[in-house]
This record gives sequence, C-alpha cells and structure tokens, in this order.
Amino acid sequence: MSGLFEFLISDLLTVSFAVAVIGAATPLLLAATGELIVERSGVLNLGVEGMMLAGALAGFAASQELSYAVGIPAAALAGALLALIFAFFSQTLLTNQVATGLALTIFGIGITKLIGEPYTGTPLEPMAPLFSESLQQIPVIGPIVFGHDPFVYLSIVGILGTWYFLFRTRAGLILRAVGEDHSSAHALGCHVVRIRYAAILAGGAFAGLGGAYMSMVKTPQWNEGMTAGSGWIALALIVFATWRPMRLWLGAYLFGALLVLQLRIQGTGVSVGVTYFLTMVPYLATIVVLVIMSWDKVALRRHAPASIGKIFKPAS
Amino acid sequence: MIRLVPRTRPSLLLQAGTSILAVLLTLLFGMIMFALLGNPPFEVLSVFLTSPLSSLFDISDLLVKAGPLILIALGLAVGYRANIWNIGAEGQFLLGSIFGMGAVLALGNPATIWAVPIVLIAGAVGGMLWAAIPAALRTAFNASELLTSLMLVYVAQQLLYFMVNQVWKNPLSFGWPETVELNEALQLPALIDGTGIHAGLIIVVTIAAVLAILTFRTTFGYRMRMAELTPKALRFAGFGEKATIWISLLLSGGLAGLAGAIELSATFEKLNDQFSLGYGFTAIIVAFLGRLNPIGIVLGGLLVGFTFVGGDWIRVSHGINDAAADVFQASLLFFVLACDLITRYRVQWVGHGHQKRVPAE
Amino acid sequence: MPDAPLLELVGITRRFPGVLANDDIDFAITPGEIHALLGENGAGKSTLMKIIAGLLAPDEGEIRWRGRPVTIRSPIAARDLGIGMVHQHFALFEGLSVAENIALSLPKAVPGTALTGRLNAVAEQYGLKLDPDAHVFELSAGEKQRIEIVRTLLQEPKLLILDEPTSVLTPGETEQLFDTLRRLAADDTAIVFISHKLQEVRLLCDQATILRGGRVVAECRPADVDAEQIAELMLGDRPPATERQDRQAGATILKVKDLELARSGGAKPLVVGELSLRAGEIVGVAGVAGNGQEALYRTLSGEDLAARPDCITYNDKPIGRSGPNARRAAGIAFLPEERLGHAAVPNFTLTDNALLSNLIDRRLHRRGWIFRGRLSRRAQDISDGHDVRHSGIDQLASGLSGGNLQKFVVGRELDKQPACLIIDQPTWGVDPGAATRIRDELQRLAGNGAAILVISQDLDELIGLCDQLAVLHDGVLSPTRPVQDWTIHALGLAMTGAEPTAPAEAEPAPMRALP
Repeated sequence: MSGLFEFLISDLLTVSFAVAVIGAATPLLLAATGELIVERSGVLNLGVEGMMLAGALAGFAASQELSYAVGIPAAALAGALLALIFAFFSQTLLTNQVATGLALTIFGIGITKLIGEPYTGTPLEPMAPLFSESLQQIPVIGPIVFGHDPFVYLSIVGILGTWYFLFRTRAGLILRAVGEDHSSAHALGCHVVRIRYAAILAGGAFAGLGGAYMSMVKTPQWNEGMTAGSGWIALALIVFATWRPMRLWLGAYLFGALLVLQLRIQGTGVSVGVTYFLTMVPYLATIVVLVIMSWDKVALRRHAPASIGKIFKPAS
Repeated sequence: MIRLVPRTRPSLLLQAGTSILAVLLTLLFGMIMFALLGNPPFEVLSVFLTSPLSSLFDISDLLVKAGPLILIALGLAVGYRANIWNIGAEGQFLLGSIFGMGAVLALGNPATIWAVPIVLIAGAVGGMLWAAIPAALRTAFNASELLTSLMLVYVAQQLLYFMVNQVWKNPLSFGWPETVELNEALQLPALIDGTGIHAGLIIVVTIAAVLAILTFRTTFGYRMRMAELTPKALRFAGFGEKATIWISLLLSGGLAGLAGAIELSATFEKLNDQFSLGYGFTAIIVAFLGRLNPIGIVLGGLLVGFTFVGGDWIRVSHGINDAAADVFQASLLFFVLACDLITRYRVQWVGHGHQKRVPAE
Repeated sequence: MPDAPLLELVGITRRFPGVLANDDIDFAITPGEIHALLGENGAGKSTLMKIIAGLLAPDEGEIRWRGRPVTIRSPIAARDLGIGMVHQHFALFEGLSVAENIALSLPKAVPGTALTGRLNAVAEQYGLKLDPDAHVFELSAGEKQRIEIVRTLLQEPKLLILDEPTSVLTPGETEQLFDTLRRLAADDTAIVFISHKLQEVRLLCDQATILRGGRVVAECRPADVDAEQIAELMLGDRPPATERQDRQAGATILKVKDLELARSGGAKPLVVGELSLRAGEIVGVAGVAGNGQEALYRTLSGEDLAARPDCITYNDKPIGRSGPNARRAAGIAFLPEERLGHAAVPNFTLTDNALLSNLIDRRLHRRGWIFRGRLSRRAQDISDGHDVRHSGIDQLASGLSGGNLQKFVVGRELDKQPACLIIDQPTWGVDPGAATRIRDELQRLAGNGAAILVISQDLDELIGLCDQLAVLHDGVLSPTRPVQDWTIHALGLAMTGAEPTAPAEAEPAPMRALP
C-alpha cells in the first residue's frame, strides 16, 4: 500500500503524466464536443460509439493506404456519413431518436467489423508531433504544449470554437433556440430541420475524429470495437458539463486523468484480481458523476436544451 | 410538398404491412451490401434466406438464438413503452448467469432436476438486482437510467471475467477461464432429441403469452402502457410515478437475468469469458422490431434469430464476416423505424405554392 | 380633419372549411390611435389580425398601408412594413435569457452590450422594467409579456397589435401596460387592442370595432357608449350563456382547514385558512393564472398530499394524506385544467381513457382484470350522454378537438354522480357551445345536491355559475363569501393582494355577468 502511495506522489505531478492525460482525454473531448453541438440543437444522437468506430476505421485505412493528411479528413467524413443516416431517419422520417441512435451504434459496430476485417492487426507508423523538435525540448512546457499530434490541437480549437460559436455568434444563438423550443424557433422563421441536419453532421465529424485518434495515434492499429465504450462516456461527460463547453473541456481532462491513473496503478504490479476492478473504475466514475450532476434540477433547467430528443414535425 | 397528417386511430393491419415492407427494404439493402463487398448478391441472398429453414438442426439453432432475445426484449419493451430506457440488459443478462452459477455452486452442483428452478430464480434475482441500481439512481437522484444501465454492462463484464478467471476457475480447465460444468441433471432437457431445442423455450413462450395478456387486459398493463411522458396523467389515475420506473427496470432486469440463467443451464452448461454473445444489445432491436408488443416481439425475435443463422451460413458459403448479421439487424431496425412513419401519419401530397392552412382562432 | 389612415382594410373575407371567419370586413386605424377590436371567442378577431400580421392571406378584399394597396405575404413582410404583433401566447425561449430572446427576434442581432443599451433605452422610455440576463423561465407572466413588447418595439413598429394582452396580467400590471400603451400612442404609434373586457376598452381606447360571427356589427367611441350596449352588440340577441339556478345549500361535505403546502419554483406556499364545500352549492375560486391554482387542485385531488390528514376532511373523515383513488372511493371526483396529458392520455383510445379515473370501479375490472366490453360501453355512454363528437371510441384522445375532449372528460366525471366535484378551468379554450353545455351540466349536478368547487380565471364564468366565491392570490386563499356580496372593486383588490380580506361593502357598484 505504501508503494502505491509513493507511486502516486512520484508519478502524478510529472510531465509524462500530464502528456498521457491529454492523450487519453482527446478522443473523449472530440466526440463530446460534437455531441454537445448536436444536443444543444435539441437532438439526442446515441450513435456516437458507431460514428467513432467509422472514423477510426476510415482514418486508419486512409492513413495506411495514402497519408495522414488524407486520414484526418477521411475520418471526419466517415463520421459525418454515419451521422447523415441518423439525420435522415430522425429528422426527415421523424423516427424515435433513442432507437435510431442505438441502431446507428449497432450498425457502426457491424459495418466497421465487416469492412475493416483486412486491416485488423496491420501496422501504421505512429503520427509525428506537429511542432519541431527544438520547441518540444523546452523543459516542462515543451512536451505539454508543443509535444502533441494535430488531433490534440484540433480538439482544443474545436472546443474553444464551439464555445465561441454557441455563445458569441448569431448562428449559435439560433441553434440553441432551436434546441430550447423548436416550435417557437420555427415560428420565428428558423429552419429547424436544416439547422439540426447541420448540427448532426458536425457532431458526426467530431466523433469520427475522436475515433481516428484512437486508431491513428493512440494504439495505432485497427481492431473491431476498439472504442470500447468511449462514445458512451462522451455522452455522460455532456451531462457532467451540464451542456457547457468549458466544463466539458475540464471534464474530459479529469476523466483522462482517471483513465491514466487507473492504467498506471495496474502497471505497478497489483495482483491480477484487482485489475478487473480497476478496469471498472471509469464506468463507475461515470455513474457517480451522472448522479451528482443530475441532482440539481434548476441547473439542468438553466443549461440543458429543453426540446432534446423530441420529434419536430412542422405544422402542416 | 409532402404533408404529414397524424392518424387518429391505431391500425394493426398497417403495422403488419409496414413490417413486411421493412423486411423487403432490408433485403434490398443487404443485396447492395453483398454486391459492394464483391459477392454475387442473388446467390448470397438465396443462401441467407433458405439455409436457416433447410434442416431441423438449423431451425433448432434459430429457435435457441431467438429464445433469450425474445425473453429480454419482452422485458425491455415494457419500459420502452413507458419511456424508460434500460439499455443495459446485457449486464443484467450476465449477472443472471453469474447468480445462476452461484446458485449451482452453493447447492453443491446437485444431481437433481429440482434444483433447476432455484438456479433460474437466482438468475432472475441477479438481473433484478443489477437493474435495481439504475432504478434507484433514477428515482432518488434523477440520473439517466439510459447511461447508468449501460455503464453497468462494462462493470458486469469485468465481474464475469473476475469470477471465471479467479474465483470459480475450474482447476481442470487447462488454464481456460471457465467454471466447472453443470451437473447433467441441472441442464434443461432437450424437447426434441438430437436438437438444441430445450425446455427453456417453453418458459419463453409462456412468459410472452402472459405479458401479452397482462399488457392489454389488466390494470397493471394499463399503467405500464401509460407513457412516462405523461406523468401528470399517471398521478391523476392514482399511480405513483416512481413505481413505473421500478417496475419496468425490475421486470426487464429480471427477465434478462432469467435469460442468462436459461442460457447457462440449457446452452453453455458452464460459465466462461465468452458467455455473452451480445444478446442484451440485440434484444433492443428485437423490442423495436416487435413494435414493443409481446406478440410482435416473438416474431421479431424469430426474424433476428433467422439473420444469425443466415449470417453463419453465408460465412461458410462465401466467407462473409459474421458481422453481416449485425448490419442486417441494424438496418432492419432502421427500416422498421422509418416505416413507422406510415403507421403514425398519413402522407399526403400537396401541390407547390399551396396556401398554408391555419385553423381559425 | 382626421389624420389619413395608416392601415385600411376593405372588404376582407376569409373562409375556412365550414366557417366564414371574416365576412366583408372594413377597418381603419390612424397614427396615434388606440383602436379596440371587440368580440367573443370565434367572432373572427384573431383571423383578422393574422391577416394583418402576414400569417394568413385573405380570400377577398384589399389591405392599404398609408393609402397604397399592399400584399402581406409573411410575418417578415409585415415587420418590414412596420407592423408588430404581441401574441396572446408568448413565443419565448424559456431556457434562454431575456437579451438572447430579444436578439433572436431582431434581424442580425447578436447578444452583447450594444443590444443591451438599446434594450435599456426602450425599456426606460416606455416604463418597461427588464433584467437582460434573467432566464425567461424564472419570470412572471407580466415580465414575459414585457419582453414580447420590448422586442416588438425594438423593431420600431408604426402599428402595434396586442392580442388579449391583459388576460395574464394582474390589475396592477394592467395599469402599467396601459401607461406604456398611452406613451406609445403619444409617439404616434397606432395600436390595435384585441379584448373582450369592456371596462379596459372603455378606459384605454379611442375607437372600437365590434365583431360578431365574422362581421363588423358596430363601430363606436367606447367612452361614449355604455357597457351594456356594447355587450349586447357583441352577444347579439342570443340569451346569456348561463343562468344561475336557485339551489338550497345543505350540510358541509368537504372541509379544508389550516392547510399549508410548499410550492415548487420558489413560489410562496399554498395557504388555505378555511374552505367549506356544502351540498348543493358551487364555490368558485377566482384568481390570476399562476397564483397557486394548480397547487390547490392537486392538494384537493390527492396528487399532492397535505402535511396532516385532518387538514382536509370529507364528511368528517380526515383525507388529507389519502391518494386520489382513496378520495374517489369516498365519492369525490376531480378534473384538472390540462385536458391532454393530465385528464387524458393523448395516445390512448377513448375507451382506455374512460378507465383513467375509474380504476376503483369494480364494474370495470376485478382484481386487475379489465372487462373490455363493459369499458367500451362506458366510453360509448359517456360520448352519447355528453354530445362528444368523434369517429369511434377507438379514436385516440389526441385526435379529438379541445371542446369534444373536454366534454368527454367532464362527462366521465359527471357520470359517476359524485357527491363532490373539484374542477379546474372547466371551459378553458373550449368553443362557446361546449362551454355552455358544460356549465349547464355543472348547474344540474349541484341542483342534484353535489358540492362543487370551480377554479377558474374567467370571472364572468364564476359569477354566472357560483353561489360562493373566494380569491386565490400569491398562494393564499381568501375566505369564501356569497357571490352577491362581492363587488368588482373588492374582487380586484383581493386578486391583486392589496387587501385580500377587504370588506365587501366598500363600493356598491352592482355586479353583472359580462359575456
């Protein structure tokens, strides 16, 4: 036990820990950013996991066959393509969003397994950091600020941009209005369905990027079902953040820290039996977080989009 | 311009018709998918469609796969109709198998058939307990049962791995993560010799019938049909709001747990780390395929069982990955949901530039 | 020489299937004029205003703006002309802030300091106090209306239309609104004031146009004409909607004493000092919406429980902590305000909805087993007995019109022959024919010896229907008093909370049911 304590002291405050946390948090942050936009427009897309897998496979395959420069947009496109299915069914055909989202996840798992079979276990060169060697060698700041691959910077630009878009632009205000009360927004002349299509596609692109981070940078390889529930954790993070971008950023990094900590404790040579329980920790933590954040109903009312998940049928 | 007018009365005939349409659309989609994967679409489709009914063995396989799916979906549908989203049936299914195995071992793996009901009840209790967690968190803290029940699936998986790797590991298993085999007396007997069709399927059919009657002919079903979306109407009728949440989660958890115990006793005959085939997730599809109606769910379960067996066959005949079955099931769900549009609305064509009609006053 | 009209309507006609909503209507308004549009529900006021606001196109007739014929194709076209409309039902985003709501209604506006400045300027100029950062769901109905008005004013309209603006306001808020409107008129804004409240119109408006059955029946200066004449013009030669029957009050059946109950959303708690319902008597609860009506209904129905059982007694038995079905078993029936979603399940058939408040009825089920045949017969009987028009009892409740569904749910409760009935807003949003029918049925039930409590925001309805009246303000229920002892003045004071228990003889003005 004292060994564990020493480990925590010696490891927690290190640069490598911070770098690892950012790495673990990035796919969650990317996927959750996308879903935040979707939910703020009043749509609940439970297909995040499926869209992440589509992005993971497309990003991996395109990087291997062509280049990373193609891989990143390919991942976003693949996520958006699956999102388009969801948008068509939920917005045009007015299907139940919970059921449609679940169908999309199952579809995503199946179709990537089907198409991805030849890529399983094939190698991919790890992606290089974005900045030059000299910048990375600056003590402490170097590895934390300049030591990452493009995805990490993309995720930060993404969440900051999402904040700016939602709260400082007219388009963002309209999107939130649509999410708050689609009937009133429609009466004001907003194109509810069109706006939601756009939000769902953007959400899919972000989820695709989140998945691609796992296959192109983190592992880097393709395995069926490799996202292992990250999409669902991203969904829970949004509740944790009560639909606020800055809290989402914080939440993703806290969660990343938890993931890294859990893995590192497993690496300290605890008995095999304990590892099963350590693996449970992120999922249990998600439940605890949900409980705490759902408690305050007034805060939920103030920030949660009121028409989330409801079907919008324009008056005929 | 298309205009959608809500239908003011439900129609069973229309539901049946649109379900058939959904199946046809799925088959069309499947052919396109096979063609894109470089296989002769008609040939693959004919194998997919004919093989599951080609022999007693295949039919038995279909029924055995459909059984747990139907059982789990029956429970889920009760909650879904009330807008309570238990999507963690997979975890409740696993807990059912763990509790069932626990009962077997606690009784000393006895050579008596009378212990079977205890094993099955233990399974149901395990599933109920696992589902009670999201129910308690939802009723006490307003936490989304959708996400909590799902998170518990991952926890249940780790629990299963822990049990079969550490606690109950059979010393004679050559290192495989699995328990001892159930005593032959504890294995649900086959109904037809030489097939896997087991007595558990009778339980499934019975429960489906009971639920069908409960749903439409009793005040219990009346309460459960009242969507949770109308909490005021629930209170007006004198029903507690929280009771609906508890009932639907305990019922769905219990049936999923029972399915886990039946699988343990009738099919696997031991617990191992490959125990789950994802029935808990596939059952969600079955519930919607059946339009959340007990009789529909029996048909939906058979249809999904069919895609499993058909999927096995096209892997054998054309080397197509068994994920094809997943894709089939997901697209079947997509099309069923889409075709629901026709059952809920009348679709009318309205010429362009037609003046919008707003009712007076 | 009067000013040239700002807006002129000539021969406007609009038909709906089966209804001639507007029939050859002429109407004109000049800048700075406050013009009342008077009429009962269904007289065609809203249709006419929707035509002006670009929401509907007329079938015939011409619209002239500053003397030029125009076609108003959309609300945006109306706005561009200078026409602003404040709707009866607020189209606000509850979860967004005041400033964000206002920004949304202005083209190209983004919330920020520039907008807040303009907002404050308009608010100050016309006496409309608003906190730009408050979330709408935290505001009162009066404050919400101010947002609507401010955002319409920011578009600098030449013509402002207000649809029943005082229906949600307290008398004090109404005064404030009138002050704002007078200031606007002084700045040469033309105002169309839609109402059916004669006193307000006489107080505020320069000119009035009275509609009945889709036609203009009169034009007048409201200040010069007495209220009774206008009322007759609005009503026509039709007999008054309800005639209060003579009844003999019997023993006290339901009694509420020292009840106090916390309400959600930070509102003051519900406090009922004493309330008695006697056999053969209708007691009315007046009050402006949102003053605790729902809490009162829910406490009496058992959907919310009182702190102690003896807070509510029924035939001397304490029922304060009994649920709805225990109270129903004792002989009380309830009907909440919201038809669809509270009194009826939208996606249930009428047959299924017939069971909703009858789960204690052993004729309809035994030990949970529902007798479907008897239940359908019950649904059929309710429909037949109460003139519910539908295409079969297997129709979904959501497919029925408001009036027909209300007749169905009222009928469901009345057919139980309850000894006591608690009913919230019995005729809200119901067509006049159905409303009359429902009021008559309530009279008949009281005549047969039932004790009835009617919660309503429609004063005229209460005065026409009730023997006793109490007022609910800010959660506090005043003592009940025979209806003839109340004066408009006393009621007004009680509803504003100025003097909740003011003595009745303050002003001897006779009370008269207005249509």
